[in-house]
Amino acid sequence: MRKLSGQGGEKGNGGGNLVEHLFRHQHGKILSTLLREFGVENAKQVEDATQEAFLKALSTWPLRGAPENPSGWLQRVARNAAIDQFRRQGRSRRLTAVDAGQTSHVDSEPTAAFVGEVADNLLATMFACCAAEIPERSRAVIILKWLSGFSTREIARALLESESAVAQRLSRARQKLQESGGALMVPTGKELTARLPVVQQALYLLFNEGYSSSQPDALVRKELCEEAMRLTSSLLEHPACAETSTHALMALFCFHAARLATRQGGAYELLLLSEQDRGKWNKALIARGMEALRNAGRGSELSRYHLEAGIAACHIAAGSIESTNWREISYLYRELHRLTHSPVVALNLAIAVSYDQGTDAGQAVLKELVDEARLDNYCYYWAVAADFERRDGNLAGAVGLYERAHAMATNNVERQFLAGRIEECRGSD
Amino acid sequence: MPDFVFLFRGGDYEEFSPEQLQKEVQDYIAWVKELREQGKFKAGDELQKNGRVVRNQAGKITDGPFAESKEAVGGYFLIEAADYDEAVEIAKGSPNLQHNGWVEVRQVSDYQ
Repeated sequence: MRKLSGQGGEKGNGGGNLVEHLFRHQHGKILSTLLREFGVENAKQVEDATQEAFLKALSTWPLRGAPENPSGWLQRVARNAAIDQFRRQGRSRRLTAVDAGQTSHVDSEPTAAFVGEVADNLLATMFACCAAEIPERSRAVIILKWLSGFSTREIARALLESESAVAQRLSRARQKLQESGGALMVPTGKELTARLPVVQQALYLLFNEGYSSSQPDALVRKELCEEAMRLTSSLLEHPACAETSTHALMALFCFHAARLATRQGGAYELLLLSEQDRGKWNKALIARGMEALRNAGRGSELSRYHLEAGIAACHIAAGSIESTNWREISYLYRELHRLTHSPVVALNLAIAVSYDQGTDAGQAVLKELVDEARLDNYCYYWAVAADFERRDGNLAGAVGLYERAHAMATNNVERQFLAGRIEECRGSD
Repeated sequence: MPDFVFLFRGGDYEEFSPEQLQKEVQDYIAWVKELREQGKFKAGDELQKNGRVVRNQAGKITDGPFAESKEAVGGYFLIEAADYDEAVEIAKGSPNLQHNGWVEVRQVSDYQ
């Protein structure tokens, strides 16, 4: 019988000064390590065991004080919880060792050699989350659940989906991984070359959910961007995954994140760039981005992330919209369009060309690259066309086009921006 | 000064994310630390959630689990306070009240 008196229980980290996001960051490491040991087919049990460790911390740390090594404590308690669970259930082919009593509770904290393994496990899980069998959007969902420790509700809120849709994505992803039954490991050689881009793409999507989606909550946007950057950092720590394209991805994230606090308007960023307060851009992130961009240049590969990071760097380097190197940006957008054939990239290219060579040249790009029939209900197209008219002084024409865009706007940020431009053009008419 | 037992029940913690749980841990640590510094905290511990209820049901002794697991006591504190008013005021600081949890406050009888 152990009862804690008022005087005791103050050992270890009793002050409660835990490292920020400690639990969130540990979640991915703990879960990955358990997945490696108990198999991806036991994902649900592993998730529950991981959660149990955090709940155990809640019920014991306040009274006994946080342990000296909180991460090791959580890892140990989660593993013991998993073993107890499997013993109770007495199933799963991988768990014969557990059933035979060979796998037992551990009482000591993990060793230093184990820490390197944990980093590998985390990456192996990241690759599993990006398995070919899992649909693209579900990859971001399961990354947030497993590696970032978001609750179903938090994922739903972050990705603007319903909780039931997220729960369904998770259970399907678990099922797919269970069926594929592959070992959890960081791929090597040709397989790595083939699969690394999928992981990069998933992180890119995750970042964009924070950066470009119509997510109204600034804090959620910041968290999504931070998570994408943290996971990209883990990728960069692994020699085989630290390709120049991964550095380029990091550079891109840093430059975008540096402007996160001042930006507004989702896809409309380029149209709104002149209204951003450049003094408020985050200098530390810019410096980190420039370093990543230098590392990205140490090779012959030119990925879409290189191009996008290059564009962002041009904007960052410029003191104003007038002194921006629009020629370089136009070149990079043209290359990017060649790679992606994205209509948004074509529209951004048109804007860049218009600042470099005038609105007529911008119009010509619209004609050349944009298939109006396909974009007829695409609001951003009409907003760009309207912007050219406005800058040419044809305000009446601009108003008509802005109104057309406004009618197709899909969110309030768009509507607000367009209504503002309409008013502005009418006011100076 | 009389002693009071605080019994902590409920709280939506099962659905909490690690981030939310960390905040809750920190809030609880800060609260307990404050109570200790004020000399009001005498003892306390967690209680395991898989408890049993022993009942005599029509002559038969049963030891079933709680009907409602949320009602189970998650932990207890032994608190020193001048009277119920002060004890209740202290209990209002419990972080679990923010998450559908509640605190039962009971004075320990003193027959001296």
